[in-house]
Amino acid sequence: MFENENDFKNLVDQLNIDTEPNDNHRENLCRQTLSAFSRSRQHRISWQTITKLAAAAAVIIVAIGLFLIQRGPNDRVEPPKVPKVSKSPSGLTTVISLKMAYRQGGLQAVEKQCDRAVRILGARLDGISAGQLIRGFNIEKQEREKL
Amino acid sequence: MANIERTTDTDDLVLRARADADALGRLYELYYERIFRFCVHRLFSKTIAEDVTSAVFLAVAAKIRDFTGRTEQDFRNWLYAIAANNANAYIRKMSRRNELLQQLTASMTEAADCADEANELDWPTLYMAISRLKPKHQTILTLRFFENLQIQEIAKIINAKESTVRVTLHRILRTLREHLQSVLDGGK
Repeated sequence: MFENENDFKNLVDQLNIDTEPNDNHRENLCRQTLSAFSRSRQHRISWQTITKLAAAAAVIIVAIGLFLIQRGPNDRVEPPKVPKVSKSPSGLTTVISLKMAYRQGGLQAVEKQCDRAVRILGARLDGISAGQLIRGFNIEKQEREKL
Repeated sequence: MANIERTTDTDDLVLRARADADALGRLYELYYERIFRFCVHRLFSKTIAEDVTSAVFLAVAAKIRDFTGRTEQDFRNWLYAIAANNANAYIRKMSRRNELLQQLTASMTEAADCADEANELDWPTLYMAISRLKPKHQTILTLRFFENLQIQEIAKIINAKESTVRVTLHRILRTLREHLQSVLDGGK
C-alpha cells in the first residue's frame, strides 16, 4: 500500500502497463485528422464567403439608403404654392386679409379676393332703407328659428 | 538555449497549425503517444483508448481554427482537456462501463494467476480501485501520477485553482487507499 504521494508515485512507476501504440492506428488516424482538418477548412471557407457576401450586400443597401435620404429632398418636385388667403367669406374682407392679398399679388389679388367674397355672399344693393334692413333681419331670424 | 529554441519552434508550430496542415501533422506526431498513453491509463483497454484517441484528434482537427492559445503549453493543456472530456464521456455510458469492467475482471483473474507473489499490486487491481473514483478525480490522478504533470498544469486543464487541485489530490489518495484495500480484500 502507499502512505503519501511519493509512495504512490513509486508504486505507479513499478507497474508494468502496456501503452505501446499500434502503428496502423497511428497512421490511419493521422490521415483522418488531416482529412478532417481540410474538410473543416472548406466548410469554414464557404461560411466565410457567405458571411462576406451578406456583409457586402448589407453595406450596399445601407449606402443606397443613405444616398437616397441625402439626395431625396433636392430631387423632390415641390407642389405649386397655394396663396394663403382666408377662406371664410367674412374673413375674406377683413383689413388683414386684404393687406395679405395685396402683399402677395398686388391690387389684382385684392380685386380677386373681393370678387370671391361677392360670389360667396351674393350681390347686395348699393343702398338700403331701415325698413328693408329690419325686414331682412326678421326674415333671417325666422329662418334661423325654423332650423 | 537549445531548449528555448525548441520551445519557440513548437510555439510557432501551434500558431501555424490553425491554417497549415503540415504543422498540424507535426503536432499530431509530437502528441499522439502522450494522448494514447493518457487514454490507456484512463480507460485500461488499448482498443477503447484507440477509439477515444481518434475522437480527440478529430475534435482537434475540427476545432483548431478556433483555438486561441499561443504557446505549446496552451496547446498541451487544451489537448489534455479534450482527452479528459472524451474519456469521461466514454465512461459515463453505462453499457461501455460494464464492458470495461468485464475486461478488467478478466485481466485481474489472469494477472492473479500469473502473479509470483500474492501481495504484489498489479495494474488491473489498481485500475479497479481507480475506477471507483469520480471521473474528474480519475482525471486528476492520471494526470498527476501517470502523466507526471505539475499541479499548475492540471489546474489549467481542469479549469480549477491550484489549491483546489492540491487538496482534492490529497483526498483522492485517501479515498483510493480505501478502495484499493477493498479490492484487495475481495471487492467488499
